[in-house]
Amino acid sequence: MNPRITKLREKSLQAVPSLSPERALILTEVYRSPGFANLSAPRQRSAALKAFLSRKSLYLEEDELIVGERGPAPKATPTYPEINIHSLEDLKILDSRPKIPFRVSPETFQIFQEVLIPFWKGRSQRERLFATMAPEWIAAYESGIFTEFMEQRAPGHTVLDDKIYRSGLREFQRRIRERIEGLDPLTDTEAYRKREELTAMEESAEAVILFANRYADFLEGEADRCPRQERKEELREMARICRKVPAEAPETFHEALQAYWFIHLGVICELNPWDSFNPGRLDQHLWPFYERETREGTLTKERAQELLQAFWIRFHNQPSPPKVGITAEESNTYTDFALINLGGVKEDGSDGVNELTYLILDVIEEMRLLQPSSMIQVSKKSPDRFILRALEIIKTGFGQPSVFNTDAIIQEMLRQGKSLQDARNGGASGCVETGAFGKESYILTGYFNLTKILELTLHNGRDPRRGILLGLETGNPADFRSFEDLLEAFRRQVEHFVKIKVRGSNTIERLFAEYLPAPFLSLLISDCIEKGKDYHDGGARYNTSYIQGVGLGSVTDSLTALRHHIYQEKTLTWEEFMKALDEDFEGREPLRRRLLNETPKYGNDDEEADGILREVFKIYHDAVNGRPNTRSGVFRINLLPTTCHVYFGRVTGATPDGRKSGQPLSEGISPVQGADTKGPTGVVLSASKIDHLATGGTLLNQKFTPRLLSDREGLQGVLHLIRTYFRLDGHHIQFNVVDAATLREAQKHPENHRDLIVRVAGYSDYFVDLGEDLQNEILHRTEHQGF
Amino acid sequence: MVEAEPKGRIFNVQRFSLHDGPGIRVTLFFQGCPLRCLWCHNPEGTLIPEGTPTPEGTPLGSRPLVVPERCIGDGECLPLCPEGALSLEGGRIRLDRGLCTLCGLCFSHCPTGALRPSCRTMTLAEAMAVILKERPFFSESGGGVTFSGGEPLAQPAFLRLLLQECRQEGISTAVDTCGEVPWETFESVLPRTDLFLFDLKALDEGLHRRLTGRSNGRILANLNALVRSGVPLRIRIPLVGGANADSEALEGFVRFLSGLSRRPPVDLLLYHTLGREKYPRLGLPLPPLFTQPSPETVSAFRDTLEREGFCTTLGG
Repeated sequence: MNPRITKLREKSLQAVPSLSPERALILTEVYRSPGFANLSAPRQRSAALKAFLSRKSLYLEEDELIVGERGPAPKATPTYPEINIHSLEDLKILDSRPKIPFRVSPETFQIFQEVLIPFWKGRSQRERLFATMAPEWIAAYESGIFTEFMEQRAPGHTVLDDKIYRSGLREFQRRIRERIEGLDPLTDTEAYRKREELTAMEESAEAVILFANRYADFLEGEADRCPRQERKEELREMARICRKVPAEAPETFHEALQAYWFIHLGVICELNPWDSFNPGRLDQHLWPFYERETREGTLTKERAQELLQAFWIRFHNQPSPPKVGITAEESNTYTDFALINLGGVKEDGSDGVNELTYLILDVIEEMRLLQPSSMIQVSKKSPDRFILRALEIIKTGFGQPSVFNTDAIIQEMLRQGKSLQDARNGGASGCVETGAFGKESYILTGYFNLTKILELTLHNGRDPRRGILLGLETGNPADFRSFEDLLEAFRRQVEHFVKIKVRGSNTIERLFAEYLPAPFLSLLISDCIEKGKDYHDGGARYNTSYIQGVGLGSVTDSLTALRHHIYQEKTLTWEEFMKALDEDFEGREPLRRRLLNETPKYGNDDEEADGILREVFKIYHDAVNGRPNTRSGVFRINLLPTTCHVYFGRVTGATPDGRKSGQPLSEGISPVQGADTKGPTGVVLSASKIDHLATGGTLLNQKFTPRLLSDREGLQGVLHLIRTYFRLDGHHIQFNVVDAATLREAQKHPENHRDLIVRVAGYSDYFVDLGEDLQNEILHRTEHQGF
Repeated sequence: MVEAEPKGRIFNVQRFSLHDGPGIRVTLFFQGCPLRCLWCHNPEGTLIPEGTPTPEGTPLGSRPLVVPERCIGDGECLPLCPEGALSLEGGRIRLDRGLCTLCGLCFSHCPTGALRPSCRTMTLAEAMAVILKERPFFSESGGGVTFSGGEPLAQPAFLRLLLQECRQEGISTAVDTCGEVPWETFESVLPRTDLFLFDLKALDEGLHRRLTGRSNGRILANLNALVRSGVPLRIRIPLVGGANADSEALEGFVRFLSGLSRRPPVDLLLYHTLGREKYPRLGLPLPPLFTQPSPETVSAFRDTLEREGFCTTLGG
């Protein structure tokens, strides 16, 4: 890392996240301006984006190469009052909470009190959303049956393909105008709506071009003032680039990175979409620029690396917008989930790994930053060298890159009806979510607490924590004559809550389509322009809604324990079992140990437990899969938790697998923490028993001690473990490589371990930023050690 | 008369085993090593299987493994011992080894793993089921099964059956042996074994006796014969500072190895203390502490071997 990047990286690491009222203030003015209320929703949104980008303050770090901050300064994070207007109480919590705080200055506090809250209270999407939801939805939400992704953030979960590297925004505008000119209300009754949407797209593209030009002016001014000749020229070159992209298509490596970054900022300034935005297959998109320029001698490998590193810092400076309440619980991190995809296959199906892939891996290793996150796509055609190089980085223990199965991802998409070409150009984003990059709106709607639903089933539909009837009255378990009766009751409860969740989501989709369209994001995603439809309204080529199941391992082991001890071995009665659960195993430690240690567990290739895993998977899959959403697409499942398994665990009482009340649930499709006693091969064999190809992504977490990966045999062993899992259709696997002693030491002395990054669940985070529950849970996950 | 189902005494199954032959392997550890190496990290493997007839399913003849830290002190195991050998001490389990008859009756209760058998009896079908489950990893990695110990050749009948079944299933096999068995035993498994891992502890007869309790005469003869037979073979030398890693001992290795008619690969295994905690858990006195030889010593030794035409690896 050269001195320039070292300095930039250090500054980025030291910047303290704060809350900036700038965006909210500008939006308040726009929303108050005369005539604004008369605009259609899409035009309101493009007007707001244009006002913000033409007035927001510009920031330039000393010696920076790629420019553009969302806030007025690094990590000064805007709020989105049209989505959620933070209360004064929220601000106090954000400012003072020990984990993931955002500094709120007294001035900002005052602005909220005097200007923002009085205007936005009663106008935010969050208030609209909760006022629209049915009482049964509210009750399930408040009890921790499911969470709601869109209550504080806009739908997003999308990734860009290569279209901005082939065309500039001017070209997009030309196509939009062409489309507008072709509209005739005489023959197309949707013409008005389409025209409003398309006009908003054109205007929002103009807003981003204008923003880039403001940077060009700014950089020219800086160049004039700069005393160092070398930097002066560099600033002039940067100004030239900002004048050119993203209006015109980029022609150099530097232009391509800067073009993407302006587009990225446009998306995250327009709204606060989940997973921010994401360049996706970066090594594929940048390869033509890199290949040509290095061949012609206008770009050295070192310069390309420096530019990429500067690009990495751009991501790191944009924390996830401040979350509060349950949304903070389910996703408590500064990471905003941009996930760089490397490798995979090209559109023609050939191996996608190239020289730039390895260069980007070098960048990931050197930068060692939370954001952007990174992953490798491994296909059966990927060379071993590619995986081994990634393992060299993984073994340094910061959880990146994670490892994905390209062949599974492609099959998942083909099953969903996508074209082979779109599938090959896709990948995974966020944590593990499969998507057709640049062509799909795949919305995660919320986490779904499968374990809690078993708890309700065992209490005849009641939530023992809140003492209320939440679910169906499926009967007293003591009356279940067979295990199948229990499973059927569980199935009915799952279906009941899935229906409540889907009803809610299909309403919330409309709230975003009607009130908060995203014209800028829309113009980037095929086929919104062609359809004249917003991204939130089914404009994309593919439209999927996901519900993310949580606690698969916990619910499997719990059902297994019930069957094993009550119906098979008959060593326990329902009465004894329920009493033990309701009293949180108080005074019944031997029983709890028997449940923990002498009961079949998922994760050990034990068919008794894994057979139930299949049943649970099928119940959940069948309850969700194929239900229509409002965007001409359907609901599907994926299995990932972010940090939600901790929150869901907190609201779930003791479970039949021996878990005590309030403890975290299992995460993703990983076995219950500590239940996998037969090593990684057992985990891989068990995890491959669910039908990954019928999901939109599954998350498997493995923890290894550094010793395992310390020699060639260890690296080769993990390589073959990955290859085997993927041959068995596994979707994703990630590795935490850190020893328990280091984690304990970091818990005791966080001040000495600020840079310790661990894999949480589909993303990495600073260990010291994690809540204590999550820290303990990571400590507890089995450390696999090959002998 | 119906022939009894073949059974073996297996004290551990190690899956995702990466250092006992090529690829991802599953290693089955057989009880019955005749040597008593001073640095042994598998002391439960040295115990000769008891000849006592065993009631079905009870792991009789197994020395109890006692891990007091795991005990929750519920005391429900105490009455299970007919000899009164179990008691609680400070709320944790204690076993009076003098009274223990290895009957195995106490194992049935413990739900925490504080009191458990150190070895178990496996049928051929059970052992094969364990091996077959790992098969997806073998084809990907070029791995297979390793029979180790203890000493796999101490249970030759069971081993032969396993080797035969594996061959039928197309699973690659390795036998990791200390060599201290009659040559006929080697001969009986030779045609069915894909790879031998042969442990060599010391060349000087007196030193070998001091370190392992047995002469190395038969071991060296077997190794020579194995080399001549042409079967794929790796020689494994544990390097134990203070035992077999001084210059004289190392020269002994070089002299012997360079006299072999072939140059099999040599794996050097550095001494470690990971097995020490097993001793108190088995009620055995702690073995003497050794050291790891210095990196300089090890690399000089490796260089010498490499010059003599041996491929070497270094592990722990």
